[in-house]
Amino acid sequence: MDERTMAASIERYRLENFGQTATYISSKNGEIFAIVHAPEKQLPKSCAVIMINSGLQNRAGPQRLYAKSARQFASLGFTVVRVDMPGVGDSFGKLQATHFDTYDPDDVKSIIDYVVDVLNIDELVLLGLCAGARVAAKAAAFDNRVNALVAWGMPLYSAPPDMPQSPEIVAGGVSSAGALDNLSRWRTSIFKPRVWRGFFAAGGDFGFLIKRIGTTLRQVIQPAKKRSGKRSFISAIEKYVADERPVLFVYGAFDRAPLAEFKAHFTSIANGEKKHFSEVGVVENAGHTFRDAENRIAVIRLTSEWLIARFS
Amino acid sequence: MSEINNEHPFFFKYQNKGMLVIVHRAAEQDRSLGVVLCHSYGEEKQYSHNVLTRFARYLGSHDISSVRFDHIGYGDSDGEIEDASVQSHVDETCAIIDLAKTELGVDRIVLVGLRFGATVASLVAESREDVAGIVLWSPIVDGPAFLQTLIRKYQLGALTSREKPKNAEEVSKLFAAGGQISVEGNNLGGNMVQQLKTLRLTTPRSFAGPVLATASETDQGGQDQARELCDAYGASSTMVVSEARDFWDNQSMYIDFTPDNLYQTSYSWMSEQWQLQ
Repeated sequence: MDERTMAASIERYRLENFGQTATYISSKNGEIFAIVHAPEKQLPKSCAVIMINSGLQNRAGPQRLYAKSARQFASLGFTVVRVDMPGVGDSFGKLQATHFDTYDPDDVKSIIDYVVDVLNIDELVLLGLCAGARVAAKAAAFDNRVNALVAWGMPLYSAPPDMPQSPEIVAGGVSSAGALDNLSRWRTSIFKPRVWRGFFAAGGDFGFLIKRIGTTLRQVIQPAKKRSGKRSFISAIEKYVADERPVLFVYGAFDRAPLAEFKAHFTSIANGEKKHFSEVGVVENAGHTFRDAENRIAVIRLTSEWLIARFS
Repeated sequence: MSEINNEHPFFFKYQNKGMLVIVHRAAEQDRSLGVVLCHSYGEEKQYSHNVLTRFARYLGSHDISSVRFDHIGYGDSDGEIEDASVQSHVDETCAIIDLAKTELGVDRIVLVGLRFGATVASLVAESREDVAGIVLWSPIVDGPAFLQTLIRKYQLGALTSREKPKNAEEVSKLFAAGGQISVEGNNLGGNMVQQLKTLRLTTPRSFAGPVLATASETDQGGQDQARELCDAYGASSTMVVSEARDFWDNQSMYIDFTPDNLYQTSYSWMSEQWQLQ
């Protein structure tokens, strides 16, 4: 490509954005990198979905779940803003920790300020997977500009034993419900040859296995205790639900401990008794991140249908 | 604001698709060369994203400008990974080199590649006069062996998804029939498979510029591959074991590992090669 054609190409496509633009949003913990997807059609009121990155992954999400979701939501008429929280991806700032409560809800507030004030959006949805869901809940609970919350794979207490534990979990790390669910699953799995094939294919670490079983037995007896307080996740999500604000929870059926803990903590919601403001979706054959293509399609479809029902 | 701290992200049109590009302009830019960073394949790209971003910023703090990008089918760029191939990665990298030279006002580019990105960098360098040097972090040297690794990842993933994984022969038949397998949730398609089967970097390389190949202490196989590759390049190449652990897996992402030794080693080598300020 010659230089003149190259320059023309760059200039033209800086202006044209393929429906996406990249931008930075000022926030107290560091400038936040965001990809903004323009809506492809009009909704009765302008509505934006803010997607908070999961774990320590960037705004594209595991297996580009967020990027693909955003394109679908934009095609339905939603503005979508995918962000890297400070310390992750292309944002600035420094991570203070790597547990699932490392993100500051004040940074989510900054993103909301940008979407409302700069993009002039009338209605707002916060969406997150895992750690993204937790900080989204913390922000949503105390910001009435948030019209709805979508929580994918939202852990209440559990984190994998090889991940740093959040200081918001006082002890245990898993509730009794989660620990008992793990034990129940393992009890049937030990008789399945394919499970052992997978174990040995992954390295066959018996030390880790024994440690994990021991930890889980202790967790049955000494389950996770929540630390309450305005800024804690459990207090926030309980407040949000108590206020009966619109919320969609989606879990993978194989995301066993978080799903078991959700069902134990929010039993009436899980049982479908609060359909006037809440909905629960479980994607069969899906794990924590809805890894495979058919599971991604399912969670995107489920969420799209819920968003359309609420905002179109 | 669309630019901050001398970083400018935008979408570049490549074959009617949008490719995310981020230009990192050093405040006091050394005009003798720029760097293009080539990411790895599949989910490794996601796991190691922070590492490449931080390296671009590290280079910027040392007056070296760089360009990062998401290949088509990755990250924020358009397209699907199952349509990607070895050749498509090479072609896209060539387009980004042209872009980088224009954006940075330089005539020469150093390619820095991680894993499969290092493989691509090595291939690109064979056919371009404007590649001044290549830095290959844990390069994939043996395409068939890498393909086997991907198939094993598929089989392990299938087990955890409660489905019966196909054995090697069944996978081979599936590919021959135009099918795909899911590797860590990303579909691996026929074009990539066919080209990986014949990819070997250990045949004598024609690129005569400086080459740095690195591997981690824990990756004995990677060290062997890096040495083999240096043998293929000859006297202009250097091999260094530069970091304590790998950093393109899920675990390293969750401990927020930054390979500071590797950054230092790579920059020092570049400084020495081109007498940078």
